[in-house]
Amino acid sequence: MSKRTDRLLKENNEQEKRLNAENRRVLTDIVVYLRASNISPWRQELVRRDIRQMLADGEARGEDAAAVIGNDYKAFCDSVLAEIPPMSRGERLLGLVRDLLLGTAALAGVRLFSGALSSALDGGWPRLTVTAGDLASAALILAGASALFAVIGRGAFGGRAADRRLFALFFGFWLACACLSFFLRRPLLHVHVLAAAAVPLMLLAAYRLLDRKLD
Amino acid sequence: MIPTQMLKGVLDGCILAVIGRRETYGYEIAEMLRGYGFGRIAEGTVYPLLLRLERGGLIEATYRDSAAGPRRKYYRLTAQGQEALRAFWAHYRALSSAAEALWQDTEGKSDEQTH
Repeated sequence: MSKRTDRLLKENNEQEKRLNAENRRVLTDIVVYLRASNISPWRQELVRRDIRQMLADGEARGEDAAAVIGNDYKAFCDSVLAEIPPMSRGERLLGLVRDLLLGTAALAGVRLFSGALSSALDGGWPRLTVTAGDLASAALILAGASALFAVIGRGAFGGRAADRRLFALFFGFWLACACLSFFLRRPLLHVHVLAAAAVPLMLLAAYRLLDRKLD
Repeated sequence: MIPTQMLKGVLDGCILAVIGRRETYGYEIAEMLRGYGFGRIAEGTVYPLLLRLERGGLIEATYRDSAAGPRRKYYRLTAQGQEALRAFWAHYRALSSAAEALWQDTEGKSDEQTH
């Protein structure tokens, strides 16, 4: 994220600690809902600051979140989001690419570590084997992470029913990934460990570059 | 109590009018509206409207330390907002006198007949 967004995010994180437990819980639900919305991270943090200050002011007057915001937090969030310009298609696409770069870098790092370990044990060092299952499960994990993020955001005010749906979704993805890794063992390529190590580093560098450009 | 649907059409203009009096912040706007007889309006109802007015360039906001403690977002009218406020009052007065004339011609007359 840009420097200004990063600064405001840190300020919000810091100031949020001063709220009482109930207001913190309400604000967390609101922020989770905002995170899954179609507004830029900069605007998310601006709205978060405004709502945090409304809650802090209310707290100082002895009012709870419902008295300040109203009883329906989701309706409040929707009315706020309706007044904020959404991200353009280009911004959304770049945001998606950025998130995928980070996710892929993390997965490649984990795979590099486990691959290097098994290669050393099997005597294949310094070459790593990438299977079809590795690629398929990585794609599924990335898709699953995006789906989970959306479900968590939309279910921010959903209570236990949303939690159960989330658990079922998580379990389903975990099972599918385990099956793909187990059944698709055909080797696709063998790469030198140094070349493999460059992949997550390059992905991370591309992520950092893009993240600084995006608000 | 004024029904929400009826309030919706005029709340933007009334918020502009309150801000037009002096630079102010969300909670104070809600309190001032209550003082004028609009009933209790949560700050959460006012906030999205402030965002809309700000987005439309009718008001602008600055963050300042308040006398009472925490930093607050203070709103003031822009030149475009003053123009919009004048237009709001012109439209409102036209609507109000039309509704008043209708009331006089219907309900007002029946009130006179019953007395």
